[in-house]
Order: sequence, then C-alpha cells, then structure tokens
Amino acid sequence: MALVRGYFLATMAAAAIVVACVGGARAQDDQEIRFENHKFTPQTLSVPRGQKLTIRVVNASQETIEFESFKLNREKVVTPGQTITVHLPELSAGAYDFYDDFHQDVPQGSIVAK
Amino acid sequence: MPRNLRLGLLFSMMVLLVAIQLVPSGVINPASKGEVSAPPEIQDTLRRSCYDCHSNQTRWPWYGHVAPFSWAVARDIELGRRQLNFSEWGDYYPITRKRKLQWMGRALQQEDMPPLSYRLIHPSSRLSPHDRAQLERWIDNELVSAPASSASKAGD
Repeated sequence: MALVRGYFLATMAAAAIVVACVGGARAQDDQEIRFENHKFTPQTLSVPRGQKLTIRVVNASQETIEFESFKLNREKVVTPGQTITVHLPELSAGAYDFYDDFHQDVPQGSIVAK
Repeated sequence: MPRNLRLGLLFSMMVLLVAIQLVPSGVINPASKGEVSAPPEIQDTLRRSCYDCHSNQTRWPWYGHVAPFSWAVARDIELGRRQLNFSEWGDYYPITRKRKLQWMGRALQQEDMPPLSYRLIHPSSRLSPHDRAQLERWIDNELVSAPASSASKAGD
C-alpha cells in the first residue's frame, strides 16, 4: 500500500512539474501590444519563428481601434479599455505588419519572427 | 395567465415599441470626401453590392427606420464605413488604399462579401462569377498601379 501511495505521490509531483513548465512556457509565449497615445507599443515585436503565439492587444486609449494585419489575416475591433487575444500559428521568419484600420495616421507596427 | 394581465403586457409592449421610435439611430449620409474612381461597370457593381454599408450613399431600407432594427442597421453601417468607405476613397493614404484593395480581394476570394444576412434581404446584391471576375481584375490593376508604400494622402 505504501508503495502504491509512493507511486501515486511521485506521479502527482511529476504532473505538477509538467503543468508548471507548460504554464511557464505558455506565459513566456504570451506577448503584449499596447495601443496608447495614438500609437502601438512596441512598434516592433520580435517573436520566435516556428512557434505558436498568443498576443494580447491592449487598448489603453480612449478611441476604438481595429487591430489589423493582412499578412496575418487578422482584424478585430478593440474598444477603449478592452484587451483582445490574438492567436497566431507558427510563423515563418519574416516581418508581419499590423496597423489600426480605423486611424490611418497611426504608425504601423511589425511582428518580426526570427 | 389572466386576460387582463395579457392585455396589460401587450399594451406595455406597444407603448415601448412606439417610445423607442423616438430614439434615433444617429447615422446619416455625410458628404462624400472623394468617391472611388472606377470604370462604369465596376461602379455599378460596387453601388449595387457594397455601397449600402461601405459608402456615404446608403439606401436606407424601410426597416432601417424602425427601431430596434434601425439600431442594428446603423451599427453595421457605422462599422462598415469605418472599415471601408468608397466615399472617402480620395481621402485615404495610398498605403491605406492598398490595404483596402487587398482585403477586398481576399473577401471576394473567400466569398465573404456581401454578407449572407445582407444577400438574403437584398438578393440583387449577389455577385455573379462575372461580377467577381471583373472586380478581381479591377483590384489587381489598382494594386499594380498603387505605390508600394507611402504615408501621404493622394495628391500630397
């Protein structure tokens, strides 16, 4: 019985470590783009190529924007104070422009996969 | 349910329906800032299939004047105009125009536009294969002649 309990505890500990590692890795994969003062920050976001990504787009301004990227085939309206999540597949090396489709004077940004 | 209660509910709903008619949708047809320039056959197709949501020349359907439908119509038109407005084409930066053309091309390929809900109510807005081919050719020509990238407005 003690042996079974030992196996059980060891399995649970291993599972906890795996979950922690995966969670940590996922947290590292999460990137953030912030819209404030009529511009995106950072303007250039470097990401690892060949890896799925989750990007949070935070609209910290008072204006509604549309986060858009033709190359990434993404377009999503983000209201003031709202945060959206953009899931991206594994990207090949290269630059992927993004911009605010509602304000053409906002400088475009770029996601650079290396 | 007692008959009096039913009648009361019906009356309240009618009063509410009449009352909400006083809340305007808030969307109008503003003046054009530079209409898109295209061959007549393309203009015809754009006006028939796109202009109601993507221009300042919206032809308001009857339900567009009746709340609460008018609110939904107004919301769709407002979003549509912000995403692409053929009446502000001349006001777009060349890079913006290029992006709009690219998205139009993609929407045509994926048959996303006009949306199904709009096509069902406005059958004449449907694009035939011939219409699509014409539009795609026009988009391709415009993209070829568009500057690669620029942050300035047309004519600046």
